[in-house]
Amino acid sequence: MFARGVAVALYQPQWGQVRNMATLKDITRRLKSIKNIQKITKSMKMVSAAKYARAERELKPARVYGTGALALYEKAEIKAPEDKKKHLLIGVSSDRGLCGAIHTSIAKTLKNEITNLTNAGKEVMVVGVGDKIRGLLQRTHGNYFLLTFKEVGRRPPSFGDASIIALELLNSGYEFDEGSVIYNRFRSVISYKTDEKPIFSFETVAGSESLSIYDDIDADVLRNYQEFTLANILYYSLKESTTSEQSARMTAMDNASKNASEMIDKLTLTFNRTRQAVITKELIEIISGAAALD
Amino acid sequence: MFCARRLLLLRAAARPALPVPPPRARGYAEAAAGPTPMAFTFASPTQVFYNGANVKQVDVPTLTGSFGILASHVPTLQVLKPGVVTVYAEDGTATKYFVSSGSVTVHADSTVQVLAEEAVTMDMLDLAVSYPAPRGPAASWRGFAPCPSCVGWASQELPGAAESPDQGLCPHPELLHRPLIGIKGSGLLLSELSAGCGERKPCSR
Repeated sequence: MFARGVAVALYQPQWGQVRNMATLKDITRRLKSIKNIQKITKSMKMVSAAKYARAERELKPARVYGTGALALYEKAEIKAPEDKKKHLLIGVSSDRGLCGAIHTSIAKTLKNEITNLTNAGKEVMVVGVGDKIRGLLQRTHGNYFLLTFKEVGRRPPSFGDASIIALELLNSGYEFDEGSVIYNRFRSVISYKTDEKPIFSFETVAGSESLSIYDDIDADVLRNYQEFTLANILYYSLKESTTSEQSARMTAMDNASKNASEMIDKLTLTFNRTRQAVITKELIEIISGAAALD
Repeated sequence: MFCARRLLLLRAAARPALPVPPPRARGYAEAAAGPTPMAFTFASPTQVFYNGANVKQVDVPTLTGSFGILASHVPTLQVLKPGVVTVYAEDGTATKYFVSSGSVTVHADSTVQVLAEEAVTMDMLDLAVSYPAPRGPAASWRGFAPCPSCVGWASQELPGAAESPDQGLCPHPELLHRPLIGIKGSGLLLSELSAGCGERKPCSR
């Protein structure tokens, strides 16, 4: 401790924070604001609990619908040939925050996928469903963005929303060969997992050998079928995503309310101690003043 | 007692001669294992009607024509057109559903997925009933009422609009009719969903 020598034996920072003991007014103000925050987070939790109940109810048929739509890709084992260059990534999230790690997990997966694909020499474009995805990726990966969709998350998603997204995608002019939809799959009230589902373009599916077992298909029918399947997959990912988001928001707001209650308890104790200290100080002043007169 | 004596006799005579196999009746080979039952999934985005159910036959209306799907149907991909899907259960009862559009997939392992954009049971359909708040520009709906002869709307302003016409003949071929069917309670008009309908065109009947 004294190895450095006498010169630095005594070191006292001149610019350090010197905190006076908080006055009663400061503590009161802080207490009031934390109580308000607790009220807000409690009500947000109730609202998202109601929305979560509805989303989970609507997820049940949507899951059957989505697995039915994906069955073709799984059973026929359609794979894009390795030399195809154009890839598409669709990140499904929403506009609103305060829901834990929902948006950051999607953004992280998107960033990793972009890096992997560009290292493998493929051309990548990103579609963001939800303003948060755009916000998180704009600065670093802004030139990869093809489309962004806003006003997601305000109302429960319907099949009409999914078909709008599918339509814009098909009209965008980007002829992707294969792609994936990245969304948060709902597992339970407290857990969700970021998952990826493949999508293929019409040419990839038409050119796949495993499609030859399917009889009597002409190009028109296959194109219609492909577009419908794209809308179905998007609908399924939107439904899963919404349910995960509402459950995560419920958990986050619940934690925030609990933290706020803890802070309120601690502050109340500090408030009472400070109040007693102020009273004691006044008493001492009075008594010493009275003693001085004697 | 009888068996024990027989056994002794057999043992005594076993070594010298090969036992004669008992005479066996000739028969056909067993029937091959039955076809894999059909796992039928029929769903719309908001409702699941069948999920991996075992049904006998499904009739679907597709763009290339209607056909019936039984177990072990050849794999195919088809697109639905507006029409009626009939599901024949194992016990033979038929249930009908109206679908607006969608897709049909039959896989090699006899799984069938029928995914419809809108699908309702027939009792949810409301023919020729006036709606409290029809969609679309209000001006085009004013003065229209269900035509009694066909599933369309005829203008009330023309004379004879309320008379009942001859069977099967629309009395107002010169009027513009809007062919449509409504779904009870939802205010939804199926003509707006299926491609092409919803435009004003002469009554085709």
